[in-house]
Amino acid sequence: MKLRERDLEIDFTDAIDAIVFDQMKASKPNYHGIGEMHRVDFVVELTEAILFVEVKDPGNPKARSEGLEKFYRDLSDGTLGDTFAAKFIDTFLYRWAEELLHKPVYYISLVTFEDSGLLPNFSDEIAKKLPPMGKAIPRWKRQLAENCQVFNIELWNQSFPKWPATRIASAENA
Amino acid sequence: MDKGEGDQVCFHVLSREAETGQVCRDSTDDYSAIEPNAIADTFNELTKEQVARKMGGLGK
Repeated sequence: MKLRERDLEIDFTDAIDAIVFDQMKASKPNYHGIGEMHRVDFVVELTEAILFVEVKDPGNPKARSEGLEKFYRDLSDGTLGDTFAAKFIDTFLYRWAEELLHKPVYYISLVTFEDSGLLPNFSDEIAKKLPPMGKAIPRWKRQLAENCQVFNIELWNQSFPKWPATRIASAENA
Repeated sequence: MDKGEGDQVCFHVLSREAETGQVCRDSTDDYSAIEPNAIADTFNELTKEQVARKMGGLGK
């Protein structure tokens, strides 16, 4: 099942179901309908797990400098981490309310950083912003996310050969 | 890297040639062109280890 976010496409070849969760067009299937809630881009159901997938493309050759400056400013001051965490939490709540959270959830993001050195730090930052915020809480019997990790295209494709990510050529967008 | 518009950065890479043992220097303005990049390689390994530990066979 192929899902696309602007110029990036991911083929979840072994998915039972895969939807564009961030769907705010009322005419489309899986219309979200609550603009006040943050949303991950895709929700993918596998046999034994659910993936929440967020995609950001600062490495897009067509990216404008103002947009890139804001992206890296938000990364630097923690705003981007806050946003990624909010996307997970609100999506989790929404799917819980739909009674569609019956499997372990994995939060994996594709961010087209050239510098893979940014990935582990950003992954840790997001994970620490998800409840229980890095704290040990003995009363909790389960965790919200089994894994919270950010990949660039190269590492994504090395890690998940069954979910190839590709940049769609500009000509196809025309 | 937090690089301002007017900033210029040059990366120097020191590595040892396997055959001769000589230390070589390579310089580039483009971070992605650094080769070999031991820092990036280490971060890549960390990412792969976390995938193996936390995600098992998912996506494989």
